[in-house]
Amino acid sequence: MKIVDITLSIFSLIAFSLVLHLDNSYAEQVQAPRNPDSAKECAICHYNWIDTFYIDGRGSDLVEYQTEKVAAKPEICFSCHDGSVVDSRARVYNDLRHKINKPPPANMNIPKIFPMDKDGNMQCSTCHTAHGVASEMGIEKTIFIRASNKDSGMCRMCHADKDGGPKFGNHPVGPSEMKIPQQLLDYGAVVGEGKNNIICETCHTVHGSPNESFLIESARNSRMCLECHADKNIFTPEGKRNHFHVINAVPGKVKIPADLINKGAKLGPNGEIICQTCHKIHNSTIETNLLLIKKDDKSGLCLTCHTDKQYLANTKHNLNHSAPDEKNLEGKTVKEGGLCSPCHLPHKEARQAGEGSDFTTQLCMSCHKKGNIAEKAIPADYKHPVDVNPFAIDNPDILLTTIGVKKEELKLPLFNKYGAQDINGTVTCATCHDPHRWRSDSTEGEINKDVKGDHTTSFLRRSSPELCSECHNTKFAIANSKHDIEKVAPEEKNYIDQTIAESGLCGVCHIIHGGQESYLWGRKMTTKSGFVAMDLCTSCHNDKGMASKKVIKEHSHPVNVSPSEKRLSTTLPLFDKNGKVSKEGVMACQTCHDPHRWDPAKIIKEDHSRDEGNSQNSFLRLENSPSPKLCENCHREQAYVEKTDHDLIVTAPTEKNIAGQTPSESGTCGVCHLVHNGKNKVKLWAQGFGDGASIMDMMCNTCHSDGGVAKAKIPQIDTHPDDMLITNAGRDIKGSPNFFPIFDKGTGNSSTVGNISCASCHAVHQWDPRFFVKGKGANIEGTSTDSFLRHQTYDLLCVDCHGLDALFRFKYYHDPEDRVEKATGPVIPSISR
Amino acid sequence: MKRIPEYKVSLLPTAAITGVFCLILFISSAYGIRLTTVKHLFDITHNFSQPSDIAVSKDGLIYVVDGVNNSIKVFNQGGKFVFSFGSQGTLNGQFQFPMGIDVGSSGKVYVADSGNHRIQIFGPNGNYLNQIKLRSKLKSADPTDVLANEALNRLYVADNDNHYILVYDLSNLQLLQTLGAPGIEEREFRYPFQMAFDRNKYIFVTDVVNTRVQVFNPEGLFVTVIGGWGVEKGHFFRPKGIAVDKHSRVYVSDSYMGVIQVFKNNGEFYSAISDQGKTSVKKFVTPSGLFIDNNRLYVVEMFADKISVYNLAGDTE
Repeated sequence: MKIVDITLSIFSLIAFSLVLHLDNSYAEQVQAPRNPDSAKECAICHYNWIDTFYIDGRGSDLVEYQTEKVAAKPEICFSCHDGSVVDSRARVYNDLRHKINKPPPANMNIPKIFPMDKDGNMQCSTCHTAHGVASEMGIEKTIFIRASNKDSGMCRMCHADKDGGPKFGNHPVGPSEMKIPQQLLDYGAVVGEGKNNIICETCHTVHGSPNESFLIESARNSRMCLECHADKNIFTPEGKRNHFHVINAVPGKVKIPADLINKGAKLGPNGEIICQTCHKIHNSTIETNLLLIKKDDKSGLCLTCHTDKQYLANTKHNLNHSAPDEKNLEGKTVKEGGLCSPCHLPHKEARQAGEGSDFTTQLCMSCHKKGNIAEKAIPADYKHPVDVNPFAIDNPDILLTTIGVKKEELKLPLFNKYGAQDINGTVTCATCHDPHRWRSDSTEGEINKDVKGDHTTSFLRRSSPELCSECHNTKFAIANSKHDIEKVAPEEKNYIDQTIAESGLCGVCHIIHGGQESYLWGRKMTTKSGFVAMDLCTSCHNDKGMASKKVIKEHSHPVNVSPSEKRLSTTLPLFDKNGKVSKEGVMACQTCHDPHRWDPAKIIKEDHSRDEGNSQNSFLRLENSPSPKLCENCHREQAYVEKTDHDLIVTAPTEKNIAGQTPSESGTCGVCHLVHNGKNKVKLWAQGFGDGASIMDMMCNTCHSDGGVAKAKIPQIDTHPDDMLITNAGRDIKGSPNFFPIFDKGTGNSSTVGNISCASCHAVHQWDPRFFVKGKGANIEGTSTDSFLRHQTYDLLCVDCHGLDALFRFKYYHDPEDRVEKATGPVIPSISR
Repeated sequence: MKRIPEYKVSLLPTAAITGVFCLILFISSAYGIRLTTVKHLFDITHNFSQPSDIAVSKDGLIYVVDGVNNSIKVFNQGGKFVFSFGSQGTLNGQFQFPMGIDVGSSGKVYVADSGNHRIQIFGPNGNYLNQIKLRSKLKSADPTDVLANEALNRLYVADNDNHYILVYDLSNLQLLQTLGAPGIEEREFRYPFQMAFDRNKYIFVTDVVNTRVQVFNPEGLFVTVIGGWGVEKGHFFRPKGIAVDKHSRVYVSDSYMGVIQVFKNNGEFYSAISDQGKTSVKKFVTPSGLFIDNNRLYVVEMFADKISVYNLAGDTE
């Protein structure tokens, strides 16, 4: 090779390099597209058609070589629909959209104009294409789609099984009489051409719905359905409750059967009943109302869930038996509307409401009223109360309860005014009666409309008395007691001529429908004292009555008096003239006695109907022995006697009162005071009398005398000279420190003039005047500061005559020797009994 | 179109040394690309749903447009959540899928509330101050970005659907000027999207479907364009976010290609962003809004629902 050739070659190389360098440095500047008009407009989506890839067959410094068709991949779509050209962020690109990257259902017939990707999956391009058809609905609604979507036409091309309306088991589509609500339109509902034209997009939106099935509003809480079907809502727009089938509530006792779920029933997110629990909007097999189960004359749909109501079919409440021609408010007979339809329609009221403050009662009374189909079974005027909350006790301090179970333990249903079960509701007819079942213990019914029920049937939820005991279980202790008539007088009949076998235990005294006003009293009342409570007891406790051996006669504890007038207070129940418990009422037999319970300390289940009573039982509300709890409830000051020397349970347990009761049997108080049928009027004195100048002294000396139980405590001198008339004016106020009572000789009543007696100085119920306490249960020797003495003050009556010194020598007055030798005060005449 | 090349060709190829030099230059140019490397500092994730834009205040608070959540979320320099404001709605302080944001030198926060067709102005703590209901020549404006020049009392709004830049007077919130028109020529747009200032307050606008960036001076006069159609370096397929660093280099994100390219302010391609220590161009997930604060680069990765934060490390050949 020549040198010139070499030089030329080198030069050529340099020149070539330079050309290349120049070309490349120019390339670093912006290079215009080689085919900007055609290539860009297509390649703006068809990325792989960009010249670099498609013509040059290579990648660039920035990106790899692309051959894959990506024009309809979500990433390409999003590169414009991210807001930079069209903002589809919320409607499309947050997963709230028609499925992509998944194949269509195997059984779905997809027209060939809707292509899948190479894997058979749906993509944006399945529905969309930049080369789509013009849409009659306007570009804003249906841009870039592959077929006209006028009236959801494109949706129907794939979802043909959802089309056709009720005849094909689907929600109606097409023009409707019903106006599409504005609220739905505001949510994005689209109406087809024409008036109220329901199309797929009236309920569904393909992009941007956060709800199930791309609904524009969720149907899981029934809201979507209720937008149009507002008349089916259980609440009116004003918030009033309709008596329709409940929705959007979790069922209580009712269990939605798996079979119904398998048929397509849907529940709310927390298991609530919703519209779609009974209705199937698409692909229902039942044309009528798109129900999941066909309606029939046996109400099969209702009974699918309400299985416990099926026994209605065999009862008089099946109007097929008792009133086949009766029509409900829909104008249908039971045959036409189904077994449940005479009383219940899911979205309408079935009957004209009867009387009552709650819907349940109104429903019952719609038939059980004069002129209606159940007029033979109209509850009488005085019946068990309804519309009351059994747990609303006016004063829980009163020892009388109307209900003996806790709220959460009550098995019988209470209802709110809308007829829904509610533990805070009230008693209604349906609390005791299950109108769907004749007998609680059997699924057998009674279809003879003239058959009279009894306490085991009559649609009662349980037989009586078990039914009554569900609430009044505290009363149920009456069983096997003397008040259990089955034990003591089974042949006795109540007010409506029923034996206990017919009426049940409670029915002997209380007739639930048709009793007498107070306590639904079921026995003939023989006295009219003006105080009903007492008259209830004397229905039996009279000379000719069932309890003639237990009649209360004279010399008994007073009744029909107000404790407050005696400056007494009590937690025992008091009663007004009508027999209702009242804080301002008077004492009645039931104040001290609970006629339903023999022993206040325990419930005796065994037969105790022949037991003889004492102060521990005898239907007393509180036991009165060994501690005098019952008497103490009113007579608190007298109860300090307990466990003192004067409590014979402590000091003389074998002694007996005039009724022949030991102190334990009579109780501490009963030793001296006989509550019923005593021999003595004064203080209902329960002992004989000793010697004495006054009745007060005679009562004390019964024991404080030779042969008496307190023979060791006999004062040798226990009287005051008779001729010394004493007045205690200013010192006759009970409760004041200087109280010094004087008593009438004969009656023992308080007096202001007379002579002193034992009780003038001694308060026989309180050992130590300084301490308002009970005794210690030991027989102790007293001193001049206790010994049942009244208050020691410098202002006692004694000081007037005997000087201050006398106050320190009370005991001196009972000892003649001391009186002579140690007397330092005024000369006191010798007195003997 | 005005284009001012910075490099000029010199013809001095008479010596072998020069030839060798040119050969080396040829080889490096034909088989490489300048990379501007970044060092990943941290990501910010806070239950974002398609965030779109970001701005940092003088106090260092990072404001992120969490558009589908209708919220502006605020973070400190460490990326720790500080507070948020906004909810979906049309009332003052509520948003309907906002897209763009800017923080003025005063600390005021300007939000392009796209769905409500308005710009809302907030205090630094997110307290609502005022709003501009946008007017446009065509249909209602859907602002995708906002840019505040408080020194000049100017507020620039990208009116995406109508293909304008609206200029408002910040002193009285009145429309001063409408820049652009629909089209492909200079000063015309097809979907202007995001905007940024350089240090001289020149306005850089990504022009999405025209696949370019247009540059205007503060008075709204056209200056130049950056980029063009394609996938080669210096070209765009989907230009979205834009930011300008202290050296007046222009960073443009391409959401589909997933790259960020760097240009000189005269429009010449300069480099592509790469991870430090890597020799390849860095791929982001749908990079959208960009912001440069001191030496930090904030990248909104829209589909990844995160903000990635980088230190601008330097250039490699």
